[in-house]
Amino acid sequence: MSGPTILVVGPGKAAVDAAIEIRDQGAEAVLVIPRFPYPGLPEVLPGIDVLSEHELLRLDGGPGDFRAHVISSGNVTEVHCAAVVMAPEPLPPMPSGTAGVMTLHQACCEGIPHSVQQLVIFLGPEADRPSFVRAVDLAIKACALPAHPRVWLFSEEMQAYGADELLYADAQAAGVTFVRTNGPVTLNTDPLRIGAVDIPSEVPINILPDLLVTDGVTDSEALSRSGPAQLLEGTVGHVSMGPVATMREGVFLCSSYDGGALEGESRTGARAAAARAVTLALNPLTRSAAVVDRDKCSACLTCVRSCPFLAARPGDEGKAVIDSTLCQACGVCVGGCPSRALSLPEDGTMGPKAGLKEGLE
Amino acid sequence: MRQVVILGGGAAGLAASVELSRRGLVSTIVERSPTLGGRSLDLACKGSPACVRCDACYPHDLRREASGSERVHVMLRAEVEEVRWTPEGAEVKVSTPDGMTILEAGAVILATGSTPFDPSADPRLHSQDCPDVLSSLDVERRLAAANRLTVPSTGRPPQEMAIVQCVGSRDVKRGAPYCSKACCKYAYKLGLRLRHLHPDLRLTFFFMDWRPLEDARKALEAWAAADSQVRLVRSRPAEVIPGERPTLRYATPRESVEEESFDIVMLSVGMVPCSANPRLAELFGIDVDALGHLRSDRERVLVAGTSGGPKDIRESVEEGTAAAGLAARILEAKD
Ligand code: SF4
Ligand code: SF4
Ligand code: SF4
Ligand code: SF4
Repeated sequence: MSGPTILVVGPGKAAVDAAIEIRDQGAEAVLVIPRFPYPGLPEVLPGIDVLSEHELLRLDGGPGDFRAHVISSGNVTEVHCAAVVMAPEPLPPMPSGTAGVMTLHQACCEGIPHSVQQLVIFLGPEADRPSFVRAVDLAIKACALPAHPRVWLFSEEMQAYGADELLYADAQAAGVTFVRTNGPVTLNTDPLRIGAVDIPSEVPINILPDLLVTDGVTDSEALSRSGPAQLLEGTVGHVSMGPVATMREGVFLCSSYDGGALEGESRTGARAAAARAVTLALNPLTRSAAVVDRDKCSACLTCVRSCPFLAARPGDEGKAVIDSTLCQACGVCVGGCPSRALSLPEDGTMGPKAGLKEGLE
Repeated sequence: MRQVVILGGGAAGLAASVELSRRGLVSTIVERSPTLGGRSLDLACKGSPACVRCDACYPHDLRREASGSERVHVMLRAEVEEVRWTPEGAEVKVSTPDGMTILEAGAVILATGSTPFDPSADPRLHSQDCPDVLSSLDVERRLAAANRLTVPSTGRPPQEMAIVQCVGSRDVKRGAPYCSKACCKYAYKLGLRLRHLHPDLRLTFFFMDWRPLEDARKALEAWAAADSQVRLVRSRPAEVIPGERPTLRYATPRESVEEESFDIVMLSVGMVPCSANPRLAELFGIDVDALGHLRSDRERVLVAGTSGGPKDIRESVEEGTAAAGLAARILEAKD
C-alpha cells in the first residue's frame, strides 16, 4: 500500500502513537526521532520508516507538498511529505547520581528496592501533570512491598484530574501520608533529609528517609523537546483552525498542553493529529479568507488595526494584504472598511465570536 | 456505502462528523434534542478582549461546517430504539417524530455527553431559594445573552462575587467522586471575562487544588498577585446561608470558621454521567464503568467526549476527531 507520506517528529510515545495511527489509516508514516529504541517505546515499528538519531531542521513548502530537511550527524536529507505531525514531549530527566536518590521516572521503571523502610516522594514546583498520578501510583505500590515501608508524598498541590482523583483515596487507604508543602522545602543528601512546613497544620516536618524519589526539582535538561524552535514556539493554531492545529497549515501539533499531557490526553491528541494529517494528505482543503480589492483599497489600514487575528497587514503601497492562513473569516474587517474593499467569499463565522467582536469595538 | 452513525451532536459528535466529511465519508448524527451543538450552545465567548482559548467556539465552527456538508446527515429529536449486529456492522433503528428509520452503520461513535451537576441536589447550597446563587452555566448563559452580568435580585452590576470550585465534583456523597477536569479552566476564563467587563468587580475564588488544563498552574496565583481585585481562598465552603445577600461559610487554613457575603455566588459545577448511559450500553453491547461512564471493547463502537469521562471542550473535540480516524479505518478496510 502506498498512500501519501506524513512526517511525524517527536522524541516519545505521542510520536509513536501518531505514526502507528497514520500507518493504520493507510498513509506512509516517516518517524523522525532523536533516539530509538528508547525505554518505554516499542522495539520495532513494522511498516513505519523510522529515521532514528534524526532531527527536523527546516520545513519548506505547504500542505500536500512539504519538503522537510532532516539532519543526522551532519548529513541533511530531504523528505517529501504531504503533512506533518509534531509531537514535542519532555523526555524524562537523567537518573540521579546520588546514593539514596532516584528520579520519579527511574523509580517507576526500576521499581522501589525491597529494603526500603522510609520512602519520601517529593514533587517539586516544576513537576508536570502526569507526574502526580505516577507518584501516587508509585506510593501505593511501595506500600504493598513486603517490608511495608512508611511512605510520604510531599507536594504543593494535588493534581489529580478526572478519575485520577480516586487514586488518592486508594493511596490514603494504603497508608500513604500526604504532606502539602507551602514555601521552601529543604533537601539534604548527606545524611538524606527532607524538611518542609505542612499546610494547613503549619507543623514543620522533618524526615530522614532511606530513599528519596524526586521529580520537578529543576527544569534543567529534563525538558528536551524535539523539532526546530520556530515550529514549536507559540504555534498553537487559533481555535477556529480546529483541534491540534498550528499556525502553519498542514502541520499538526499533539501533546501541546503546558506541563505535559496525561496519558489518555496524549494518546487522544496523537490520534486526532494523525486523523487530521491523513485527511489533509488525502484531500487538501481550501478555506475561505477575506479578499482585498486592490483597486478600491485606500490604504487606511483600518482592517490592520481591527483584525482580531492579526491577519491583515500593510503590503506594497500600504494596501492591505490578508494572510489566508491566519484569517478566520470573522468579517470584522469587511464591515469596518470605509472603501468597501474587503469581502468574504462565504458567510462569516457565527457563534460566540460575536462577543469577541463587540469586545473590540 | 456504509456510513458512520454518530450518537450526539455536541462538541465530540460534531468534530467526528466534520472529520469524516473532510475525509469523504458519510455520517449521520442522531441527536436527542431539537438542535445541534450540545452544551456549548449556552457557553459564552470569554475573550477579554483577546481570545483566551476557552474553546467555546469550536462547536459553533464545527456545527457550521457540519450543517453545510452534504456528507453529514442530521436526525433531530431522534432516539435509537434497537441495534442489530450483522457481519458488516450494525443496523441501527432510529425513531424520529417522522417515523422509524434503519441506518446501516459500519461503525458507531457514541458521543452522548454528560450532564452538568444540578446544584439544587445539594441542599446546603440553597441555589433554589437564593436568586443570587448561580451555577457557572447560568453565568455563561447570561454572559452569552447580554454580554454582562447583573445581580439577579437587584438588577445592578455585581461588586463582590464568589466563585466556588468543585461543586458536584470530588464529593463522594453528592455529584461525582472524581474531578470534573474542566471547571478550573472555565472558571478562570470566566473570571477574566468578568473582570474585563466589570472593572469594579471584586472576585474571590474558593478552591482546594488549582487544576487548569493548558494554562500554567501558577496563572491564577500570578493574576491574583497582579490584580488587587482578585482574591484566592484555599477552602471549600461548607454551605451558603441564604439572606438578602448570599453568605458563604467556610473554614480557613487556620481552622477558624468565617462567614462572608457576596452579591453573587457562582458555583462551578462539574459533570455527572448521563442517566441514559446504562440503556445505551445495553443497546450497543458495551459496558458502563464503576463511575457511570461508557467503555467500549467492541471494535465498531467508539466512545468520544464526556460520555466516556469528564473532559474539556478541547479534549472532547480531539476525541471526536480521533474517533473519526478510527471509524474511517474500519470503513475503508471493508471497501
Ligand atoms: S480597511 Fe479597506 S481601505 Fe483600509 S486598508 Fe483595509 S482594505 Fe484597504
Ligand atoms: S475576516 Fe476577520 S480574520 Fe479575516 S482579515 Fe478580516 S478581520 Fe481578520
Ligand atoms: S469563544 Fe473562547 S476560544 Fe472562541 S474566540 Fe472566544 S475566547 Fe477565543
Ligand atoms: S477541575 Fe478544578 S473545580 Fe473542577 S473538580 Fe477538578 S479541581 Fe474541582
